[in-house]
Amino acid sequence: MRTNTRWLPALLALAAAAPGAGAQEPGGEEAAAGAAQDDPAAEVATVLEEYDDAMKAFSEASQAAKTEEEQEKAFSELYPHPSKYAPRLVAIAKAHPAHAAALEAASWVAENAYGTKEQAEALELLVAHHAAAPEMADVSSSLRYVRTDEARKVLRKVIEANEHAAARASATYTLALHLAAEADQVRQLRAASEEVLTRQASFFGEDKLNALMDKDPDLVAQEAEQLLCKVIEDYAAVADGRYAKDAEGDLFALRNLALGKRAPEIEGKDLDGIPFKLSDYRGRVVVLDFWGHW
Amino acid sequence: MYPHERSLVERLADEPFALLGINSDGNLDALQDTLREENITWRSWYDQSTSGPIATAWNVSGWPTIYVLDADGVIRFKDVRGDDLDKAIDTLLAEFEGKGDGK
Repeated sequence: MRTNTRWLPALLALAAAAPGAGAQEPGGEEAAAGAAQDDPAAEVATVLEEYDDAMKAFSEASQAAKTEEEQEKAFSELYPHPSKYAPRLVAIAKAHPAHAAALEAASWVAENAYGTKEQAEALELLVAHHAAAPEMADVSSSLRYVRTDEARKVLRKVIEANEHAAARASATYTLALHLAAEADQVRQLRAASEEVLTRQASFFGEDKLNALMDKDPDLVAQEAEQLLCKVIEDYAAVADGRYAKDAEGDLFALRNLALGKRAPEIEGKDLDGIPFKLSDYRGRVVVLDFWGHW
Repeated sequence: MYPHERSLVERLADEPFALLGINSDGNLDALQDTLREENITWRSWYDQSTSGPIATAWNVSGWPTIYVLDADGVIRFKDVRGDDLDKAIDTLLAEFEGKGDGK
């Protein structure tokens, strides 16, 4: 059902913004006991299976829901918040920090448990014990939307300490995307109204918001640009050139689609086949909406 | 999104404002039905697919993606949603009218 999937992301965003709302903590007391056992890989597998089962139950209920109300009910009762599973995974990782299972546990928490203290701890574990692992190619990619200082420390450490080109390419590319987004974020915040800033301050915390707004967006963008150029030049052969090819598009976006740049011309036909172009609309405020009905 | 888009288009009908879509649906016939059902009156370029020429040139990797341009065609906001989108547009309209060259 199309209508169901259209607003599910909004609910997920809501969940990420308010970790801990709703559902009960599954087996919180087991955390300490679990970490004391001696097969960390099996312990991690147990937690992740529990999560997968819970996610499956939620998906089934969500698909069976016929109304928005039923959908919301399924969400509030069954959606498995990653923040509930994170403490056990981090406990296992801390008990066996150099074990491959710790890498698996920490990278899952880093990718999924948005905005929790466990996420920050998991990222610190990755820096301290796993930055040289070949798996950091995938882990780095998974940090694309984890836009925190701790995530950037992981990426910088991988770039510095990992001997696998695929891992360095992925970390370099992901760090570039972080910085490109941050440059625009700072520009947008600097132009924002008091009301928007007050709301952002309550979301980020005032100190973090001020630290962010004190950054020079042009310098941040400049580092992003250097990193993208490095991906294109140094890692053209890695992963069939995937990073280099993506970096070309991102470099174009950084140079031409950043806040403050004049929008490139758009020419094409409308849905009735009539040609028109963006510059026809000069002298009007324009919202460009890339959309699809799916 | 559609109800918000409709309300924007209605609220700003008399302002120097345009909502322009870049549509990445694969099936134009099915899309025509959607336009009627959802009362989508604003103009869109037809970009054929998510890897269409416009979405590719604009490096779009997620849908919907929103850009807000001022009256000079300069990109001023990205991916603003809900109330923030209204505020962004109102800010740019006020700025344009404040310049005294609004038409």
